[in-house]
Amino acid sequence: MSDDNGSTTCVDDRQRPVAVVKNVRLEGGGKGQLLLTERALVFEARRGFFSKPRTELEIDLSAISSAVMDEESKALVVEWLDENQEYSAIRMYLPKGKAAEDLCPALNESLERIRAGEELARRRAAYVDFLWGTAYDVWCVTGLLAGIIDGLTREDWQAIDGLVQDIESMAMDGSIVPGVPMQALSDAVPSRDGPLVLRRLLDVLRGLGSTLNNELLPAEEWGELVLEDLPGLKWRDIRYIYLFEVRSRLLHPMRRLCSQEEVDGAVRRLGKISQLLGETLSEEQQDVVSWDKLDTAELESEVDNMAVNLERALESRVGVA
Amino acid sequence: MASQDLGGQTVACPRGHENRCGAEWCATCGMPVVDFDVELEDVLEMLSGWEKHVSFTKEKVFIGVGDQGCRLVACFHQAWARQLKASDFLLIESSGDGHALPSLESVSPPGGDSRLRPPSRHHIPGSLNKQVGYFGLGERLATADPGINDSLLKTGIRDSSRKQVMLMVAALGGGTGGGASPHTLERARALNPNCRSLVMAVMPAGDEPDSAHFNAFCSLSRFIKSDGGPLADMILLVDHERLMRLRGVDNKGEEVSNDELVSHMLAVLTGGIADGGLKQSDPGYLARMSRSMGIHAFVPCLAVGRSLEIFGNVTNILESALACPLAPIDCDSIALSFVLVQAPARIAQSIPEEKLRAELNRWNKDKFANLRGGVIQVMHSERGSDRIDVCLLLGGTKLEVAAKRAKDGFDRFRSVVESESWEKEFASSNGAVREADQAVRWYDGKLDDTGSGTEGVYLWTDQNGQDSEVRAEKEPPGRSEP
Repeated sequence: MSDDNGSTTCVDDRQRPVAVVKNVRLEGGGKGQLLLTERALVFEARRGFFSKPRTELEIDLSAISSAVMDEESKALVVEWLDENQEYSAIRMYLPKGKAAEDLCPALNESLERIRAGEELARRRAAYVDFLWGTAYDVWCVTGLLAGIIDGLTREDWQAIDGLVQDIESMAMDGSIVPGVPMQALSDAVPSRDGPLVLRRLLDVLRGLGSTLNNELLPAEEWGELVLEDLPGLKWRDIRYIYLFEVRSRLLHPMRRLCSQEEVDGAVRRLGKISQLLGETLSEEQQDVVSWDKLDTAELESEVDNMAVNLERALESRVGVA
Repeated sequence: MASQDLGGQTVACPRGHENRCGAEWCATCGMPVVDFDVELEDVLEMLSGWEKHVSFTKEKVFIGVGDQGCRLVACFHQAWARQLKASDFLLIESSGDGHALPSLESVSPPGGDSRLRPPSRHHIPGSLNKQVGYFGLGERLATADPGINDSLLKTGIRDSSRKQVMLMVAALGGGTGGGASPHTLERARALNPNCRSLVMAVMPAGDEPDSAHFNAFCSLSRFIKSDGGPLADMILLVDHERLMRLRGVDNKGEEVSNDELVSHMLAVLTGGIADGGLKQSDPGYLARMSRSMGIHAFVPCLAVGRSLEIFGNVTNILESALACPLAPIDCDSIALSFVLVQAPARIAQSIPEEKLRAELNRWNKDKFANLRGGVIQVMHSERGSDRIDVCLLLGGTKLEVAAKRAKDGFDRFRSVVESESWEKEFASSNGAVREADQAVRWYDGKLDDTGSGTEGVYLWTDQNGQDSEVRAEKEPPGRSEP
């Protein structure tokens, strides 16, 4: 913080003192100077006139829970959590003068700014978690819905019952967006009427698609954060995940039920979505490879890899891996 | 996803570059352009075309109830399921019935990739650890089991299927087979009132205890009269003792087991044995006709694998079948006769169909003086041998004759049980036992009522192209059905 000549050397802007008060007496300690930087409140003392100032106390501003002026004793009372997360408090007696008077407002201003910054960072992190959590739920429920379609084509009601139960559990946990007509699907399954269940399922897929297509939906909850160009997963990518999951899970029944031409068409579409997701998962812009030049087998291999990567990424981000 | 610009004429790539609507790749960065709405609609449109892939119309549903019924249906499934299209199989079991079943692993049809699904199974709850034993208990457990409906729905029984036939196989002497089978049929009919039903009722052998005959008689009474009318369209009475004595050979001339003979009979009935047999055999038509004529109990007579070279002609094979009825019959009382003949196509070429039918008609009329109706179904297979299968289903004999042993056992059992024991020991009641007796009398009485009168003979070709013949005062009701 200080050089041999006693003058303050700033390593960076965050360490540059915003305010300095000399002749401060530390409770139970000696005299010295109190420096307020953008990052910390620092108390420096010198043993003798010719000795080098030594940092005796440094409190990270983000750890301070309270800093108030005791007008009676002219002491700045600071409370904070130390590195062991234990409560600490200290009184620092300030001299009379403008520097001391200005310190406390400056300190509180810094604290407010830091808290606001921290809150924003927290909200950003929470928004990113929200996006990944939503993506994971969409991925899960889409997989289950596609599983039901596969079960319907095989007339495997036992499998369908299990999948519907899983979907109902997700709905109970609140993992399914309200408004998606999931209950109508659950109600249709006991009829064992394949076409009816398929129709209800299409309603669910359409409902889920509409919900994901609604740009305002996250904004209602996250406000201006939605407009920020945060790196990594975006709301738009959840739509890609949804499309990818539906199409990739349907490939299996398609191979049984559809022509090779239709399967190839589906693989080509999946290849495009895979390429988009690839960029999202790598969290950085990549050189664009011409996937349209790949043949079906190569595309299928890329799609399979993407399915594995997507699953890993989603599970690790939501902590279920 | 689509960026609304210039009236929605552009779409943005993931990196935000504007592209003309419909572009597949971004003109600026080369990234793919995916229009979410278009892409999703494409998937949904494809899936909405999949209704045909998820509509499994079941024209025939085979249901085995109880130990023996399940075993017979499982045996039939293994032998014939791959030939039958649009069919499903359900085994309803209790108290360890499953031990008697052959392996129900799925089997690969020859030359096909897809595996044949094993029959579905349903366990009647509450009976896993104890013998059901009595008709009343079996009926009570089945009545209390809500899962039966779901199992039936899973086999495809539903009222949207207009041409559905249920073929039930049960040994009526057991508690599950006797008690649960009528209730199961009742549930199936509630799910699909259009469903036609044939019940193969295996009656207990003479050496079985009176309680088994009691069960069988009570069960039969339910099938013959429930809620004012007959529950089953056709009941095929198969005396276990007679079944054990029956002999038949396959197309290689090797003797087949009794279970396989039952399978064979079901196969002849349902067209499994004939190549492309669905259009040659229609058990639903027989069931409809039986109900129309008020005749529900039938005695099957089976001749399997009879060589034309040895027997000389089809009439002799019919005689051979009639010599071994699977339950007692009174030929003078036979009012309805179904003659199902399965012959190799090469024999059909040597015997003109008209000649064959004339021969069968003549035999029918000569044998059964009071015949009022008859159906002749001739099916062809690609078998290389000269062996012919014949299945006669003869209706009109009273149950007091056809099910005499069960009735005698029922009477004996009834006479020794004290009235207060019915509920406590047998989950039944004096009233229910009386009703069983009355139901059978009611059916026999109805046969008396409809047996009088002079009838004419009607010949017609039904909607499936089958030539049929009926003697009746009026044209057969079945003929005018759509």
